[in-house]
Amino acid sequence: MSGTSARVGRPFTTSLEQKRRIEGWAFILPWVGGFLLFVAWPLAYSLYLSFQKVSVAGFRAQPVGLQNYKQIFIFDTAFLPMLLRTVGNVLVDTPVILFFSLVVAVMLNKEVGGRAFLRSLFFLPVVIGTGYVIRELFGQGVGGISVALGIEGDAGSLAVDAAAVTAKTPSIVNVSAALNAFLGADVASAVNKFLNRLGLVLWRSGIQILLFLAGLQGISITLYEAARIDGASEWEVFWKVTFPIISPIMLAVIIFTIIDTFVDVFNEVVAYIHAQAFQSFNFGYSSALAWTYFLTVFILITIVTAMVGRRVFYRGSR
Amino acid sequence: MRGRIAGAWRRLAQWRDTRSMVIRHRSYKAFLGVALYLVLLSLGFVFLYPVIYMVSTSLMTPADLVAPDVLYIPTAFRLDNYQIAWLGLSFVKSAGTSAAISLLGALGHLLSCSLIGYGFARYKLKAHKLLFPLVVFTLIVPPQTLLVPLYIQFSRYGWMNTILPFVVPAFVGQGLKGALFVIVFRQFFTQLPWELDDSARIDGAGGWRIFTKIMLPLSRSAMLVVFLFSMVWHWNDHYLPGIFLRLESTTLAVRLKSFWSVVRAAHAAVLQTTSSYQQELMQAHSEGVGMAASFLVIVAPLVVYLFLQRYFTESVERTGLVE
Repeated sequence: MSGTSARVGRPFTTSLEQKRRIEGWAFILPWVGGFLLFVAWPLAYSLYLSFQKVSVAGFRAQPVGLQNYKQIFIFDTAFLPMLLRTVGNVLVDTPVILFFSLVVAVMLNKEVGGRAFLRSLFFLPVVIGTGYVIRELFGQGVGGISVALGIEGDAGSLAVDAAAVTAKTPSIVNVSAALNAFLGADVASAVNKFLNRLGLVLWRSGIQILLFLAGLQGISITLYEAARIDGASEWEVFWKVTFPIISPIMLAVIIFTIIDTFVDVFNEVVAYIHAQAFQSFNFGYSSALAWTYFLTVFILITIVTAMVGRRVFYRGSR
Repeated sequence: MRGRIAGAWRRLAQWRDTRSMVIRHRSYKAFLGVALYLVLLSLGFVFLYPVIYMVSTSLMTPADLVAPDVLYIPTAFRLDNYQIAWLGLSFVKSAGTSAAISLLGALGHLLSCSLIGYGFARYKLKAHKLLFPLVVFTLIVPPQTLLVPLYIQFSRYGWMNTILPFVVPAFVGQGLKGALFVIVFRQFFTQLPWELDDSARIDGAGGWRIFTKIMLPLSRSAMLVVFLFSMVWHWNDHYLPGIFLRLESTTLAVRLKSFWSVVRAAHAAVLQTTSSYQQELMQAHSEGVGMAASFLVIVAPLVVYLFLQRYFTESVERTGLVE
């Protein structure tokens, strides 16, 4: 079909189409090679390992069928609750991040003085985002972004005397030291923890803000003008013009945030898998755990994409 | 006569109503503007405060940190904390490793992802229907799922304790968030007009020529985004280098991790044996040193960012990543 027309009389020439096809493959071949080497093979091997029991001495693998998976779902009391907590975290954090980054992006998009400075400011967390730096600054424990508001671990910070710390540390914490006086210790502490966690959430929103901002700037002003002429109020303009146009970006941001949260090295599931592999040397078990985790993430993202994707408004064809 | 007065009164009332309406509208707008600014500034504070805290804490002596009346400005500027941190982090060696990984990794991403993204964008292969979702797929796979096999693989190649595990995957479009960069480039190249292709081919240029001489030079903003992000993410990665590199030759980010635990252990060891004021001082000292170490780790990306901040934010807009 495709090669025949040029082949008349000459056995080894390639048609234009074939040449193009070869070119096209040539460009993506590096990726295919990289994928096979660094993703596909490890993934397959990891799956294989998950059905083995690996002994450290001499690294021998012993097939044990579904035992590892049975262990995960039936015997291991730690893992499943952790997994569910992490999924819960993702489900809670993602809308919050989505909301805040959108709000901030909308605000940054308006004509305010010192806009460039503010934009750089909001992007700062991405640049200095070394995990340990952020952890120490926010005094969070390894439990990391913990489940319910108000249940935060303080294992990461050096604060021994809470009162002394509160008095000494100016900032969000100190705002709550003032709250303490007005609201009483319990409520103030809960509010304090909420603010702390909020700070952490905001710190994870840098890229999302950037994406939204880029998207907002891509909306041509004529649309807004047309809406205004038709008498739309500010609120209506947002919901009828801005919101639909950036809905594809919202989907991207949601997916990105979900992935980011799941892959975050500080979440407990990841720490557990890591410990199983590199401290307890249960390579088989840790592979099974990792695959379970992977499937959970995959299923969740598929569901979310299906649900949200249907509501996304695409402007014309590209 | 009455009609005239009524008319005049009516006009006066209208003027008054319109005028107050305009004033109300204007002051409403002004109020919104100010409120907006306040909200933005407070949020900005959330982002800026930790950095300020870090810098000011790192410059204080333990006595300052413990004193309740000294908040941001130290009574005496001391670089002691930095001296300790510098040694504790083996700064020069670790920074060298960090820089090597960051720069080479970013370069690898730049070269490979542009190539690959271009291939996905400007050629129509049936295989793309399968391959491109696979690209997105690599983003979804948690690294832990691949880690044990990769560890085994890299040991077999003899790549352990070198920067190869980081650099080589980057040169084939994998590596730290490599798929994301492929997506960025693909998005960018999709938007370039096809006429460029056509006219170049009419002039006899082959695919590679078109890519290097025409398309790539046009993709400056995408290249910038990819390079900057890749560099920053490589620099800040404290997980993978901890696995593939030994402690003596690892990156700054990993050194920071072990530094904090060393500092804390030293502090805990002394905790039982001293007076409570001494304890506070020790604690404060650990905090100060820790903050100094943290600052040393982020100072490089911070400086790069300060000089190139405009490009960070602007380039994303120009990649056409978002419509």
